[in-house]
Amino acid sequence: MQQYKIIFSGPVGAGKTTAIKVLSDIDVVSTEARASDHVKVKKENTTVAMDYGRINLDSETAVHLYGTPGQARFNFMWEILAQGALGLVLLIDCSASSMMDDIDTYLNAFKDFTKNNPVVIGLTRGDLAAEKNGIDWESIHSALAAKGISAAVFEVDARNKEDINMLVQALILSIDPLAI
Amino acid sequence: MPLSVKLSIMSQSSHRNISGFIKTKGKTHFKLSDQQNTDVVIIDIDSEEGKSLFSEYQNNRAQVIALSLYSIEKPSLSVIHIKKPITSIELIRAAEKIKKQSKDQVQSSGNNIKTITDPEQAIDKSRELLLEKSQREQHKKLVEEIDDSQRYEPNLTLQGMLHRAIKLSDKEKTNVVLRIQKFCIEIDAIKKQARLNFSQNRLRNLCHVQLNSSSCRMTKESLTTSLSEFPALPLTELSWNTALLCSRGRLAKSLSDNSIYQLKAWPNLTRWNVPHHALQIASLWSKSPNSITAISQQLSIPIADVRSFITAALDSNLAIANEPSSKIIPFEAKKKNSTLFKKLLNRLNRA
Repeated sequence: MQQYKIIFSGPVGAGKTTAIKVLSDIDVVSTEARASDHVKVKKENTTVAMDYGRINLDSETAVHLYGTPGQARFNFMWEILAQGALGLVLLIDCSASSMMDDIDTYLNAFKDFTKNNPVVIGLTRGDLAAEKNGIDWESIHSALAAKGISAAVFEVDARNKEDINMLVQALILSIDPLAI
Repeated sequence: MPLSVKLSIMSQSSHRNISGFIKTKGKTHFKLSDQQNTDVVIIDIDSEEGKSLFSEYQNNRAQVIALSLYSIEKPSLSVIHIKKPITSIELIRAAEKIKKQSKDQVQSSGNNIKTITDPEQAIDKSRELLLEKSQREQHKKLVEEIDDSQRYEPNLTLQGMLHRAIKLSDKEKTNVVLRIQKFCIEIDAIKKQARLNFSQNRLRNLCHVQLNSSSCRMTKESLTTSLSEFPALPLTELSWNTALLCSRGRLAKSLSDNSIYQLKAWPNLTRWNVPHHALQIASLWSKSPNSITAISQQLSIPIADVRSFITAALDSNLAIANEPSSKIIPFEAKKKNSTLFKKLLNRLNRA
């Protein structure tokens, strides 16, 4: 059996669990607990260890989908989960005032991983961002360029299968653009 | 005199059929050879390996007969394309064409070396002239063969007007309004936003009409109060969508299919208007600076899609034109995990 994995990461409430649910062929295994800190303002439950889903390509091949816990205090889990992964899907809430800091934090945390592996960024809650000042694409692109990262950045709805599919396709094509 | 030919990258059955033909009916036209420098190379370009080898041979300007199931966009002078299934007649025609081309080239270079008396000098000069001529012809074919229907003048479209309005707003640090009849676009370059008093769906119609300074008025003013009910749109998105709709697969007059462009950032492919194959184009272009022709050939996709993509990327500041001296580094497909990637992409496409 050939086993591969893709990592989903990003801050609390960015939509990692939802994105994995949208892609997975099995019921997603979540390690959710009642939020006890500032997270409970955002949502009742939060992932504390990881989320797990799977895409079964055929009887011989499966792609495992792992979601990291969002809170920074669980960041020791991030690197462990990323070992041997094909790539990283970073989901960022673009309506949050901390959006640029979040991108910076997560790209720094996965710095070693993204040296040799691709990353794609999904900006979630774009509808809420549009009500404010819209998405500042120039700042995002400049921040990535400053880090020497050429990553696909798409606005996505984590509940929308088409959006998440496209993000993962971009991840695979970032490894091999001639794969289709 | 038969042409020496090398059979490269093809299925066993194709190899058997073609070499069988060359050894029998085709022996007056072709002679099989394993040498590096043959007169012609026959490549099946339907496979990834074939495509990559094909671009290498093209870069070296070797004479190639390319076999594929589908037509290829604007093959260069040194390429003869044969669509599968291949017949012996087509191969014979290709051989005759190659012989004629080479005869013409020798004759034309001969005319230019009459005054040189030293035979070695004459040969060198002849080689030099042949190379120059082939380079000139290839360039001419790729650049000038684009007829007027495939080119457009952005300055006479909304794309050009928008570009000027953004520059003006940025320079004067004030809002600029574009008015086309009842339609208004307010540009705020400081906030990098625009407001439209109409739905973005209408942009398509506005991009189809030819504009000038009287049909599209540009004024320095702020309409924020009257347009505040309309959502703000990032300038990057508006520039991308407008350029894409104005291009419609055509090439802006200032651009060339052979110039090298560099993609600085990916466009937002999930929400903006995109040409077909945008994901593949963006992923290949993000690997290294590239030309429109090379991207179209490497991905085997229509050149119109690549033209639209780069027009929009340049206009929205997601791409830049590189120095003419810069080189394309062809992407080499990795064999590792290629089956998995194909399966996964098929699955995601199907879903």
